[in-house]
Amino acid sequence: MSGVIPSPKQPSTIFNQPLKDPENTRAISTFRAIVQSCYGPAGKLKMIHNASGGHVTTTSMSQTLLRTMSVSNPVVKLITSAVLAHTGQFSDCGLFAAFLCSRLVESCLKLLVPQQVAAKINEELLLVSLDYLRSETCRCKASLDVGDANMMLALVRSTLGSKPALIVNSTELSSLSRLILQGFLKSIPDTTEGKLSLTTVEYVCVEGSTINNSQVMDGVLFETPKITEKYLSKVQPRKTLYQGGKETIKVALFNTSLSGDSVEFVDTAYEADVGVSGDVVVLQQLMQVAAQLVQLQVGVLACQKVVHPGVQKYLAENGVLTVDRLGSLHVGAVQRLTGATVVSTLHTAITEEYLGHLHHVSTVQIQHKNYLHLQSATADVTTLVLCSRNEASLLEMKEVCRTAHHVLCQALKTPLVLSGGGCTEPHLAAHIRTQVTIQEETLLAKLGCSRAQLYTTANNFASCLEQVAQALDHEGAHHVSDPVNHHHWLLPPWAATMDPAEAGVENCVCGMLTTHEIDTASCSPIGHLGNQSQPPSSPKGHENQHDNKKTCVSLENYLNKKRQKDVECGFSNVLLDSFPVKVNALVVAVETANMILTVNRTIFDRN
Amino acid sequence: AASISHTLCGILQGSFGPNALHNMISTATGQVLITSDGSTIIKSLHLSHPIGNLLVDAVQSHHAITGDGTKTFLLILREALQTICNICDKETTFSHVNSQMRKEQMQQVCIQMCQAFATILDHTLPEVILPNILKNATVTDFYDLPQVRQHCPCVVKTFLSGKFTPRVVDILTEIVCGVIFKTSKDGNDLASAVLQLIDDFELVWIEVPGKPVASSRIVEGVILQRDFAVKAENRDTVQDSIKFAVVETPLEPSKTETPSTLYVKNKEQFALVHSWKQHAVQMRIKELESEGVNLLLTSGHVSDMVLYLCKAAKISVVHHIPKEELQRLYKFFTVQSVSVSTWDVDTINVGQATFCKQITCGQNRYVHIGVKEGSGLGAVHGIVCGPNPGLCKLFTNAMHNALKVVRMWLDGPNSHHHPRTGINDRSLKGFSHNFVVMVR
Repeated sequence: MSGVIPSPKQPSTIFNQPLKDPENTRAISTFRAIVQSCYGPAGKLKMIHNASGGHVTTTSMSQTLLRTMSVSNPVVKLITSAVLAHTGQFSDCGLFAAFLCSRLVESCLKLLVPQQVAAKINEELLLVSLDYLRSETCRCKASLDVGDANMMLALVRSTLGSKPALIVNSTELSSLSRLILQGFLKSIPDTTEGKLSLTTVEYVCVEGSTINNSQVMDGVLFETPKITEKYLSKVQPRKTLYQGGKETIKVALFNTSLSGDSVEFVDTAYEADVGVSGDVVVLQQLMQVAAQLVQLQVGVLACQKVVHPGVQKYLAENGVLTVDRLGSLHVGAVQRLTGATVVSTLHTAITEEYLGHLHHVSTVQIQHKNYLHLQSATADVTTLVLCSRNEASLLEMKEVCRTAHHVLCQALKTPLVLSGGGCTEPHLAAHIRTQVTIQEETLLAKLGCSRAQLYTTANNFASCLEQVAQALDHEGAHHVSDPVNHHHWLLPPWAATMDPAEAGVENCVCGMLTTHEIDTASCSPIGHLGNQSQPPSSPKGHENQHDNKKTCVSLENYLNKKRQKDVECGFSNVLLDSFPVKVNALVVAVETANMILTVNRTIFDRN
Repeated sequence: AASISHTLCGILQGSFGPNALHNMISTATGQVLITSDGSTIIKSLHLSHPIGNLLVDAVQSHHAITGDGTKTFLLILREALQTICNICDKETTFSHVNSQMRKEQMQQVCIQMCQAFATILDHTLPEVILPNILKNATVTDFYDLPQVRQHCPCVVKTFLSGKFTPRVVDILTEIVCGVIFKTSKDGNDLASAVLQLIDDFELVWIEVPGKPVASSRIVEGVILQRDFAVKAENRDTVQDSIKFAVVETPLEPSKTETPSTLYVKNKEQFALVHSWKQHAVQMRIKELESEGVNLLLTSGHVSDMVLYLCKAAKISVVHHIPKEELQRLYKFFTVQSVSVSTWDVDTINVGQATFCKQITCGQNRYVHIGVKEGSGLGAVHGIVCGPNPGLCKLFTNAMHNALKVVRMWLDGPNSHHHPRTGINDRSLKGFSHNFVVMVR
């Protein structure tokens, strides 16, 4: 007898390791530092290398980064799993969530407020900020005009811009964003019934070419070393006249093997008389199917698995192009493209209604590789050919394109945007600070904590948000916000003044405000005020804000104005964030942080 | 024993009461759980000491019934044991006799104590303490539905409040109560509804990680946690009635049981053999079609060929459905699965659903089947959202326990309820009983 002898269960080790334990805080800070350095357009790339050698991943995207990193600290593990669950649904804003969450945990542990109380207050503050973000009066929110290509382009560009691993310059960036938007628009079905799904855009990656060679193509493109231009000229797929006189190529699509090893056959041993050969019978069966196809005037036979060479030869002689070994991935695409029904048995009469239609079949050569290009006049499948110089950035590019596409889909569902580039966060922080002073009484009654606790935690929450904005830059630039709109201004590190106008900065990071619109002299650095335990904007300051309503600019108005003024280059420097994505990231971050804050100690089960 | 219970309490004490702190458990598989649930924590400890094991077993069985009160149990136990130790110490220091005598004396004391506890359990508790508690208790009339509706959230909320932040508690309470009241439609069979929910709790809660807690919601109807393998367009435009059949055996004829060899005489026979499988499936699908079935639910795998044939017959297929989900389905629809050998489809095998559509829960797509009105207990699912899988699990566990608490409350012999009385009472009983065992 052999087998694994189960070892007796080990008692779990209990580390009476409170959350404030230096080991925990160290792990959280390390994680925070990693995430922070990746954040933003100027983020540093991370190279991940397995200890036993192998592939090196270069990335700055949260999805790839967190998936490839193996974490042992339970607190950090909790954060990563929450972020991954978020990106699994929304693709974007993962680093934002990870950074905010770890920063919140880190800073709340340093406060002199009991953990549970801090968690409670955080939760209430989250509610306050969500109420604000969802309200009509929110000044950093705007509805997105889905019909406005420039606006959509700005959204895509903001998404792509924060991914430095693409290694693109600004012209490449805008051309790539244009391609993604084009692909997206083409993938939207014309009818209202069609469903929007992430799979409607196919990606083909080509290594070694420049990004400018990337292009959008209608239809499906896949690599077929066998079908060259020469072969295609020899075996011209038969074209037939469709009703209405349109020319079309009929397509039959199989997902069963056409080489005689179909699962359909009964799996048992056979015994046959002399002269009866199993192979011959099978081939005959296959030939029957082929003859049926020829009779139906099919032009292309596409098969997921292998097609018998004999059948292929016969079909080629009769003007049918055989495309086999598609793989389950491409079968789906071809199915959507042609509208054919996938046939999975050999024993059925194939009729006209099972066939799909193609408009054009051709071969394309990209980087010395042969691709077959199928085009259809009706279906909305597009392929994005992505070119990049090296493998790492190509992989990143594919992920980024998927993310951008997802963000666009989200935008179609909820057409709302927030100002990007770290302008939303200080704005929100300022709002929280004022709200806490205004609603002080109600909040205290609701939470049952002391006033000092409320202010300290609220201040901490706000400064965490501001730190997110500050994390966008890694070169030690000055972060400044204006006193009315609380937008984020980035001044070069050598600037001696806190006045954006003097430092020669014209726009805030998201591009909404210019120096003419604000009182530049009263700008103050972000975060400095955050260290005081009293909120910076006292109730008096809030009244001022109402008085100055003329100088308050809302994103909504701004975008409207822009659109009327100039159509062409209006949005070239505007950064926009998708509203649903960002809000979900915010909620996930705060909820996870709260959960972690209520943890007392850790038990390790080592079985 | 005292020291062990002391250690256990040391671990649990922090998570006792409202404002509790949680314990984080890193499991053997590397998953991270956060919990303040005493039972879960104790379970994860894997104690090796025999008395520790005894304690854990006792606590576990107590928890399995009530779903709550683990920590109360242990804390009371600790106090009692501590007192006994103290008494014993005193006794031994004062009596100057040899060790043998001392030992006997110790045992004497223990037995006395034991009897004393038995008295408390048998007499004091029912005769003195209970009436006092009942004085403070509010009486809920279970035939008075509005009152039940009013009190139920309070009970659930009290249970949950120690575990999460206030807003999460509010959301979860709403969902638990919603699920309970939707399951029992007229309130008469509330108790059986809760029991039912506890039974299928794995299936009632659907966890969706990656979304804010606030987006948790209640969905009526049955949700199968699978997507359509094939979604056929409906035959008729009338959408309000969908007939479905459940099959628990593979649709394809399986290969013969005993290893056999087929003897083939000529080519025609060979071809016949090859097409036999397809032919058999076709026959079965025809049978289903004749009963007007548009939806086929199976627990097994359905091959591409069968899917294709079903699609051609305009039958949607959902496969790989877990057995438990099908069992639950039988309950709601009074359907039987199509029998294995005969393949006769009768009306009893065909269920009627009001609708059948795709539902998106987070990243997954599930099949959502509507149940006709007025058929016994309602089918309800609570969709629980949380930032990550571990937390979702935590929420569902808490809600499961909340259901148990509600059941205890409904079972209460006198239909009384004082916030948490019934449970304390039980734990006292359980504890004393356990104590008696231990000292001996």
